[in-house]
Amino acid sequence: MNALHEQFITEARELIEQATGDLLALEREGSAPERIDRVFRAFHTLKGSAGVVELPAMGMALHAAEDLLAAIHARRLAIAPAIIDQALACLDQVSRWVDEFESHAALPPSAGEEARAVAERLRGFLPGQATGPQAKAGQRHKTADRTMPHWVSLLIDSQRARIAREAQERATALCAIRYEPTADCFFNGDDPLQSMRQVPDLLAFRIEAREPWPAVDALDPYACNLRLLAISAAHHGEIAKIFRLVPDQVRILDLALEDLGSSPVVRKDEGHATELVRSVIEEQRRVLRASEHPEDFAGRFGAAARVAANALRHGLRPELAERIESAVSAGLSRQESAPLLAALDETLARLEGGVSRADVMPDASSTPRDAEPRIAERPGARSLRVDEARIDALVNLAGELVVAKNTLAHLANKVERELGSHDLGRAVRREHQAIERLAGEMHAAILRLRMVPIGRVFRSFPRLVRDTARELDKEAVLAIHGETTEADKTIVDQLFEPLLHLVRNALDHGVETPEQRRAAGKLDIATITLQAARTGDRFHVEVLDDGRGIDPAAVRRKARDRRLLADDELAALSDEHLIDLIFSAGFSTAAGVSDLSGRGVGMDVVRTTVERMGGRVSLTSRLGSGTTVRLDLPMNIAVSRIMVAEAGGELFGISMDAVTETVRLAADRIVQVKNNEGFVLRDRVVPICSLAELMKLPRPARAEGDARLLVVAETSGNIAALEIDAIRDRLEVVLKPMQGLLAGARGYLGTTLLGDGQVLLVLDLKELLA
Amino acid sequence: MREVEPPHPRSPMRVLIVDDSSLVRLYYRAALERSGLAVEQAINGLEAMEKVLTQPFDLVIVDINMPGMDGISFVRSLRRSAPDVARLPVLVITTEAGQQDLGEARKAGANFYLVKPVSEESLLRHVAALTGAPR
Amino acid sequence: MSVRRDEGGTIVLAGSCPVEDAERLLQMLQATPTPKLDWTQCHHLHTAVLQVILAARPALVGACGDPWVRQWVGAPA
Repeated sequence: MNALHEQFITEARELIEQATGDLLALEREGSAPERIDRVFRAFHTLKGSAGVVELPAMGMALHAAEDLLAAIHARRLAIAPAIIDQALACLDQVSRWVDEFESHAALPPSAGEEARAVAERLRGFLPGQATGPQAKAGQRHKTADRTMPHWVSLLIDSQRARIAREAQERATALCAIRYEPTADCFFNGDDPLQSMRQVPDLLAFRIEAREPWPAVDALDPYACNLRLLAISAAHHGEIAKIFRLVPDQVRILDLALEDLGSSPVVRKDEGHATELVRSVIEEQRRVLRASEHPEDFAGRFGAAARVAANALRHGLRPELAERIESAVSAGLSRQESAPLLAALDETLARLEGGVSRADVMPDASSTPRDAEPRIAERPGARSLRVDEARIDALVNLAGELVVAKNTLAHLANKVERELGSHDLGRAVRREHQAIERLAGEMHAAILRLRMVPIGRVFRSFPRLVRDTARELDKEAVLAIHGETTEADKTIVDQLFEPLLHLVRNALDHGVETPEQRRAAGKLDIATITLQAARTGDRFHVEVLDDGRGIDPAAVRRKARDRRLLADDELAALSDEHLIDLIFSAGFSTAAGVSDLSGRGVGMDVVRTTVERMGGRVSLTSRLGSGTTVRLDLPMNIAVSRIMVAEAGGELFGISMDAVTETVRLAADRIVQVKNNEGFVLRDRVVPICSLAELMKLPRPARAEGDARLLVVAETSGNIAALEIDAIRDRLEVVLKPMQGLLAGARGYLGTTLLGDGQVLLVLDLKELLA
Repeated sequence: MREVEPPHPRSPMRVLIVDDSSLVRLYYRAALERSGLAVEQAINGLEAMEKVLTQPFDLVIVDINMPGMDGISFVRSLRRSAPDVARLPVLVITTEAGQQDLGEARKAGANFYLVKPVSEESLLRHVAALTGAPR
Repeated sequence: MSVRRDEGGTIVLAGSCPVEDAERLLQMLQATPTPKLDWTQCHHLHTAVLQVILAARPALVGACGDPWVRQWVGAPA
């Protein structure tokens, strides 16, 4: 895989994505010239790229799409959903080919056939009667595709340059030959290859198996399983004579030169360097004669002369070059091309060689062209492609800097305490503050490198919604807001799966059929909304639908049936909190299980995924109106906010992500819930757990009436409070995952280094409180 | 008075490639640099105009089909610039379907053309001929 | 003999290989776990022999001695 291939793959994927978006927009919003042009340009560029990395099959498919779009732009064809479907299907196929190319540096052998099928389907939309040179070109290809069997195209593709060159030189007809000897031909004394050897002017040959080869042990050496294909410049009659004894096994097709889709081929041998020089000189004559505007005369004239002289020098005819140059000053002063033209004519006469290749190079066309499509400005962002590994390395360094700077604060205290130097201590503290500010800024700047807009995850959804709705016989459209909201790349990437679940659920369970919606007085077409917004140093993403909403009664019933909660607990839950049960594993309110969502939900997976990222999921719904699922997430993961808490005489870190609040609880608010202590927070009963006890540490002596310090955490829909003795600090740290013996231990998120060198264990509240 | 400059054999020829596809630019640039040419790039006609007006070149290779200022408009602009810039040789790259563009390109003053896909060998031969480089 | 095995175990095709050689070649290929085939000295190949080579895909030593096969079939990988 070289740099060229890598760039091709990256660029192709971007173009495919862009074209997909534009095609969907075309479908939604109808035909807009700039958009059509953008789609056309994407296909055109893709086709060009396919040519650069030599993937003719891909080029063929894209060419057909390009022709189709050109017809649409020229208003010879109206956009229809069927056309957009095929264009999207073409992009899908191209995308698969790009993947294949990435793994194997080549397309599969079936590519040629697949390409033809795609091209046929696309060209099938083209209007039959077309006028104008551009349409004629399209029609020419159409004819070629319809009458030329694919084995011929493949054969031509494999040897296109050689065939084109030799065909042009001899300017004769071409024949394609397909010879399928019978299985028992050897017993008749036939040697099929021998017949092929006799075919004159062979241009291309291919031998292949008719049926897949059996294993070597099962091979019958005298059963012929071959197909021989060839292209020859000999006449049909000559070839027929060679195969006259086996006419039923051979097909001979006449090919026209246009079938080769030729471009003027520049020949390789040395002797044709003069050819090139001559064609360059001839071209300069044409350029001079095509002149229209006096104001560009000097430039055009000067360039033509310069090029002619250059070519002559390149062709080792410096004396002719000088003739050209002396004609130039005369021409410029008179503002006439006549002197130069005369010099060029003379030059051509003196150059060795044959006939002017006017038949190969098209002359200045005077046919009026179709109006050139208005070419839209492409929105370009100035950006730099950077290796992800480099950014990760930077992030790590920045993280270590954060930890190192924490150490400084500690040192400042030490200086004061141990050295007794107040001034020195103050100076160190001042420097520490400066470094802290710089480290903070740098860290933030580096983290910003990893920030990507969430739009990149949203981008694949419009197509998804369209296709999924179709599958379900429903009608839905996707609205997107806040796609420029940025978050750490890892978080954004991990959001795709949960959002996919949520959108699919919305379509599957939330959105009603068009008839149901009409009956409910809603518009036939449902709207799914994806929106994101920043809130402080976190952000949230919401998936909304205007479907049927969630029926609390159904949830209650299901929860009872599944025994998710005891009856009295169930009764105590308000409707809002009840809905949270949806996130429990194995829960589903669907009447039936559709193909689409498998077991029906995946909401529990959504919740665990989001929580693993340091986020929270919540859901609100109104029966009849719709449902909103909200994901609350940190903007970056590299640094965690933790609270340093003291319990049982030791320090522990508690990740702030799960903490909803800290409460200093008066002793009289403690209630007994079963065997545990708890308290009522708003209208919920919150059990209290002592961290010291959990960690098997001695609880400090406490007077009866003392207030208790509680850290309230909400995880997986459960709420609980952790009792601690004191809060010592709040820090931003880089967490190192648990290692060694403790790697498998539950309840720990990781460790971090405190300023005084102590290792702080950071607790996983979720596991602790479970 | 000589209006036409002979090629300078000592310093490398400078070529400007103008194409909106980064892949194509990479491809041409690799081929040209391997051949000992100095290469500059531009992604559209406007950027190309900026470059030719501020740096010396021996040849411009421009794709006809670009968004914004396309190849033909670029050549027209070029030919109306100051004399020493206006005489810059131009090689346009067109697609086989776009051969009707060729007439326009000639009228605008482009000096030669190649049809995509352009092989490395074809590119180098034409660049050599148009810049007067030795065979 | 137009199909034989040399000391190194490589199967060698030499001279003109007629249709009968197909069966002999196949037997040799079947008997060898990872066969190598030297076809550089064979100046004419019958279709049946080529068919066996295409079907069995032994490792090929050198280019085919039959010029037409060398030019138009090349080296089937």
